[in-house]
Amino acid sequence: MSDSSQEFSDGGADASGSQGFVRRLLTVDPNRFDMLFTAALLVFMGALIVLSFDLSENSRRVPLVVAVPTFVMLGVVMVILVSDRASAFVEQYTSGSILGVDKDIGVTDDDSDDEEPLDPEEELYQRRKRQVIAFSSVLSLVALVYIIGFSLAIPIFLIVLYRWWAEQSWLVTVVTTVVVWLFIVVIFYVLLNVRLYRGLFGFDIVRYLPF
Amino acid sequence: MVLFQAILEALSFVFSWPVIGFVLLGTIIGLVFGALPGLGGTVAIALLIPVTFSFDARVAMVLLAATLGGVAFGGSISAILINTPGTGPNAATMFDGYPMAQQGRANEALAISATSSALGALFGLVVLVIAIPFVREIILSFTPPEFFWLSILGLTIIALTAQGSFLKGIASGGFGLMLSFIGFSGLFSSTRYTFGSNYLFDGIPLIPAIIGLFAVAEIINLTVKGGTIANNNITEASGSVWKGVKTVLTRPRVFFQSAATGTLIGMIPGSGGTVATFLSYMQAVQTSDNPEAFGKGEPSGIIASEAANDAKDGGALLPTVVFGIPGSAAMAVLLGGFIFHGFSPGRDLLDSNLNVLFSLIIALGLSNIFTSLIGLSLANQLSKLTRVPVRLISPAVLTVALVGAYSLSFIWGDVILAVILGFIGYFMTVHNYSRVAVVIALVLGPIMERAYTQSLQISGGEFGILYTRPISIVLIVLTVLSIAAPIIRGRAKSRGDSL
Repeated sequence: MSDSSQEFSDGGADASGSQGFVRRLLTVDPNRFDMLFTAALLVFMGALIVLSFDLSENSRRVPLVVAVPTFVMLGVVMVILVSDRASAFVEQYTSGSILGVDKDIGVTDDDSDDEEPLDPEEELYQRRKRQVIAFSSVLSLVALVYIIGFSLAIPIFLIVLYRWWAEQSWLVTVVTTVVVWLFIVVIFYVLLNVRLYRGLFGFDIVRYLPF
Repeated sequence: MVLFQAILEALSFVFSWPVIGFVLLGTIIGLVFGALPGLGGTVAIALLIPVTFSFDARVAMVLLAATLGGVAFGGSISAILINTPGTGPNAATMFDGYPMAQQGRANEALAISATSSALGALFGLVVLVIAIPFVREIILSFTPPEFFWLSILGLTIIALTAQGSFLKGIASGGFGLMLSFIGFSGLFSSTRYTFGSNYLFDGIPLIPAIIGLFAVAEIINLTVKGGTIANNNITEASGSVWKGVKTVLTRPRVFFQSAATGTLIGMIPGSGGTVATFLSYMQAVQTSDNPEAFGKGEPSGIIASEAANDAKDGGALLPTVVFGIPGSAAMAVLLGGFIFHGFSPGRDLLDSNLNVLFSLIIALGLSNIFTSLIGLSLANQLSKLTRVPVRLISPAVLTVALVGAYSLSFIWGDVILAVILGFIGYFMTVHNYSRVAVVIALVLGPIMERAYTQSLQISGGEFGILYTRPISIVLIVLTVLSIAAPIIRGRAKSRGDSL
């Protein structure tokens, strides 16, 4: 295990309870997330290789020529990520990150200059929290749109995010929401004649507008 | 004669109303997106493509090209006034632009940037126009085996030059190729890798994929970064504009050297503008009589960076339109726009749609001139855009992105796809995989497979056709070299280190 992962594992060890569990989860070594992502790609590629054997010979030839080497390369990436010895071996024969894998990825130093520098674990924790918020907000919007359609979901989503996540005043929240919503309606509904998805209940508040 | 007619036709088209209005509109959109750090031209074009759905295809291409033209200079405004580059390549502009602004010469710096940008872009485009007749002859002599190897070479180069690791770059290309094979294949009358989903029967649609990989992923990225885009104080634009314009005109050596470097680097697929501007900046320092002045407000630093940055667009268009191998992420998305509107790179654009190609080139040149004029007069206002908190921008851009993904075919699955690829795109960025390689592979995958199958049909199943033609051999050698080069370089380096 690399030094950085050891540091992150130790850092979370003294936390307790459900909050401690969440904190430990959110401060997992970035390298492990890299492994997880690479493993997911590996599984996807493996599944495609297996599915290829159900296809006719002509139909699977080119996909297999692509999928097998890609699978092997992902496997090599995985080995390098897992093993420090493999990483050192590859680095010995390659120039920096051209063939090797950068193991210190996942955390970048692009946060605000005005804030006091955080310790690495706290910085990682804050970043992961923002990741969870970002992913949740995207998924919430999709769920909202699926249920109540674009025309209603967009203003609700924007009001909630602007007021409680962005912590804007009601005035800024309402004005920004109206401007964005009208922009979408005018461009897509009025000018491009797009009939926006109405959701499970057929909501379409746009049709009540005088356009 | 054909070329001359196409140029004349394109000129009359671009300067007609309302096309010229779209050039102006694209320029403004590009300026705004360029001035907003974190967004940039790739996101702008990804969001615009669905909007151009019902447009005349040529007008759409003009709008997209004009948007691309507006981005580069837009990024230099924030670099000069608030010490935060709008786009990666503008970082080199910051070194001397911000010190000049602090010395009360912001207008002069902006004028240097505007003039260098406009002239640099024109230089790159002139080189492109001169090169077109030559490459046109080459590409028209290509047959399926050559297109097959060209696709392979393109992917290899993209993986090699993409940021991050080479292995992950290649794996990203492979991942993108496999995505491109999903769905019903007319070549073999078979359905592949749909996992039983009806939505995937038609394959992975390119534009929702681009919206996901670039727009949605960037929004997540911005949200994770958090805060206000720019934290630095805005320096008011003051000083002489005319002096800035004259400065560029009196330093032709730096300008031409930088523009030529930018154009050449732009031609290398995947190398991107940042390499062009930093290399050009280093060249300017090395060849200057007064290298100590760089970093303290030396006008040549801005000329070098901005001339290279805008000239690279002309260079990057060449492999994009000729071979379908984009020179940068923005070009990859622009290529998606080409294909979405029914234009294929290579023969199609260089032969039957030559007037479209020239319309695009003229729009790009014109937008660079508009950008410089508008940017100079509105620099202070545009720089204030960077004070807008990310928390206000990202929800708005996210909603527009998802509506855009839906509006292309009115299929709910496109929204889901954009979101899934948005998540994947974000993780690819974080873990050093190449999103550009995925998009290029999505574009090149079907071309590659079609070329392969056609080659075997021509030869009656004989594989020799793939490696016996002279151009194919050249392309195979280039492919092998592009894969072997980093390994050979790495071994040489490790031997050098051990000595």
